[in-house]
Amino acid sequence: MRSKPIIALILFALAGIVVYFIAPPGRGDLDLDWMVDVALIIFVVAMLIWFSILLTVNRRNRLKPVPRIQDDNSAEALDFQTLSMRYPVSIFEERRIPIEALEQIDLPVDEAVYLAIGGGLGSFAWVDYLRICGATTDQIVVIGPQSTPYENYRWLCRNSQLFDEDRLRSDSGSTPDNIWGWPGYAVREAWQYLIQGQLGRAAAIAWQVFAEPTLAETYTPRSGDVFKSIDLEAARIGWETMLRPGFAYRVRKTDDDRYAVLYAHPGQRPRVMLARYVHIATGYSGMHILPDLRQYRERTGDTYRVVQAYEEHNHIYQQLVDGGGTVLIRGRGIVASQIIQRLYEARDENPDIKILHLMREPQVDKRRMGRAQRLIESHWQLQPFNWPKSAFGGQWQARLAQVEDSERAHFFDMLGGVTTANRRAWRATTNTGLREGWYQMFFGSVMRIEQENERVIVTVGDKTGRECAMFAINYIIDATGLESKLDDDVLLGDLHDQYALDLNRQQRLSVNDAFEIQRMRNGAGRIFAAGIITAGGTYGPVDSFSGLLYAAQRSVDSLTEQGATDLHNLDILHSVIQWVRWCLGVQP
Amino acid sequence: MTPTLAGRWQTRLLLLGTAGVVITLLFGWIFSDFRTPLALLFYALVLGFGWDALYHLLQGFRWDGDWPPLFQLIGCLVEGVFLWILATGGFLRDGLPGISPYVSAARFAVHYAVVWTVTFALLQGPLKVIFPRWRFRGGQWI
Ligand SMILES: Cc1cc2nc3c(=O)[nH]c(=O)nc-3n(C[C@H](O)[C@H](O)[C@H](O)COP(=O)(O)OP(=O)(O)OC[C@H]3O[C@@H](n4cnc5c(N)ncnc54)[C@H](O)[C@@H]3O)c2cc1C
Repeated sequence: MRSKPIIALILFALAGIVVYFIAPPGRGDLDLDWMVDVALIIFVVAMLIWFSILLTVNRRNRLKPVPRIQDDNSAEALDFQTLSMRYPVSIFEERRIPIEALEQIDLPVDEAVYLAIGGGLGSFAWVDYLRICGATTDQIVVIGPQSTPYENYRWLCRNSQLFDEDRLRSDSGSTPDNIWGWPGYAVREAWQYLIQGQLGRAAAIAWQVFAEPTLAETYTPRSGDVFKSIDLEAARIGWETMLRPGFAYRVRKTDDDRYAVLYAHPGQRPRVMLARYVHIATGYSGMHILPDLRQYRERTGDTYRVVQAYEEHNHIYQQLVDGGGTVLIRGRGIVASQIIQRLYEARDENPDIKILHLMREPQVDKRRMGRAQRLIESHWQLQPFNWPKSAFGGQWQARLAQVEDSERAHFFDMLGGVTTANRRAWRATTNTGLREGWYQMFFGSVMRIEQENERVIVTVGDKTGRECAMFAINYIIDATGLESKLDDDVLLGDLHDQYALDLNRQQRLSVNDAFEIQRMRNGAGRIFAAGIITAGGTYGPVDSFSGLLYAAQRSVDSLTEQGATDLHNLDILHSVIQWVRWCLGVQP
Repeated sequence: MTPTLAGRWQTRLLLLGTAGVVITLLFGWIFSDFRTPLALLFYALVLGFGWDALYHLLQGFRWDGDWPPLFQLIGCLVEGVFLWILATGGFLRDGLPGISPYVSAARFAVHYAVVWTVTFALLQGPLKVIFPRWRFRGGQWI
């Protein structure tokens, strides 16, 4: 196994020699032999460099992550009312807390310089960047309920039928474990195949990243690989030592240019953490359930037949495999695609499964922006990622940053709206299903949903509001997404009330170019935010790996500029050194 | 990362100005003629600014606003042929100033291919390490 890379190298050298001999001979007066020599030398040197880089990456991949904290998550987090009845936290009613007052209350108080609230992928990107720029593990604290940065994310993925071996929806260079985006997941995966001797698969990936999305399907990494890579990086930067399991309730300015954060671990006494620089990435606040389905569930208590795609709902697939039936799907995004794929697979075991896809209206008009237009097939809007690629960095990103606020809504609607990934397998499934009739689309809006024995009866109306169809189905899956309303969030809702924060057009946190919540400035103290909680501003894809990395970069850079404790600028030299350390798997 | 026009120009300047110059000097030494390879590099750079504008225009037709490596390769071939014809007098009677009349297509091809391959390899990864902000700025590094 270990000798495979060497065999590959030898093969490469042999190929070089062959090229050398079949290269065209010189034209007499020209020293072509020389040129071929030099060209080959340069090629071989370049390739050697590449191979050695890959070897180091490979070495890194063999590192073992440290074992996880075994956390008791069985206890539920208290709501703030209950908390305030049991513990002396009334001081957190005030907008500005004198530091002496904190010493008088009967709660443990700790200190940090940098504090990340959330503990998900957004926090991880920020902390990783901080560590790489010089902050130490005893200066950083992370408060969050998860034991790994991707726990919540993986839970959402799995419920929506995306498992470890399935592919995500971001490009090779969206690497939450590596702030540089290189080597990307494509190179790493191709390398794994190469050392296993699967040259064909390695070449297929190389071709994908070379020709995507025009001649090849866009490469996206397997979620399991991404999680593994995050484990390694978490071990490298000492994530476990910085993590304080808990849920943050309140953030308050103090009178010494810092912030006091009230947090608690379920079942334990609340604590206070003081920090000068705070980062908030608390992600989605809940699941989005269509109003008609919500009403049905409230009325009947039936959360067995009518589910949200992000809820645990494996029973549906099990029941369908056992007894067949019809599923109604709402929503046109990637989760709907994933669920259809899952149902398609279930049909292998029981062909008596039907899918009814209910959409409000047909999708036929292509979205246009400037000279470009988006693909549509069978009423699905297709796009490799959740935003056009250049919105992550490039043309659309630049445009979106420049346009007037009033125009931005249009951009968001056009570029960021609901789409699914353009995958050959999915398109084939849709087309086969439509042809064979086990997958049907219906356009209209729901008028009534009723429970009847083992079924759910859905009455659908047309545009004029007249009843036009009635379906008896077994299950309804709502794939319309997740909720991110500011006021639903315990921490942000309060922050918004207390400090009258500015909101953007989408009613989410308004942040400046450094992803700072400007209203929260407190002397030298700064609060930043990242992820979906900031969506609607000047950068589109904030809720993506790439967007989180970008936010981390902008905010840490602004801290460095400000002269924050122990941070140094990530200039060429530091960047290269830190990258080499990343490759070697040694701490920053 | 996908480029903006300013990003394309800056990246081209950076790559040809560093790796391009080093490789060209090497070839100048081998060919015992520094002037022709350097002149070719200079023309590749200047013409390239024009090509970049064209690519930028075409990129506008792409919904994702991206420019896959495949297109870069096609661009490289087209640019190379155009440069060769222009430099050796295919369009103008005497060719471009600074180009030796004895320059051969083989020499040009090897030189051009090596410069392109090395800069392409740098573009795919190492540049992101040297300039960690480059990919979020549409290819601008200044
Ligand atoms: C199903 C799904 C698939 C996705 N796929 C991709 C993809 O393929 N590629 C891509 O680039 N992006 C993808 N995204 C988008 C994005 O990358 C993820 O949503 C990512 O997890 C966002 O990170 P985050 O830190 O904002 O939120 P999370 O990772 O969810 O972390 C937020 C954490 O904060 C915690 N929290 C909330 N309130 C508090 C509080 N008051 N105190 C302490 N902690 C709190 C939450 O419990 C949670 O654990 C996907 C998103 C979803 C939902």
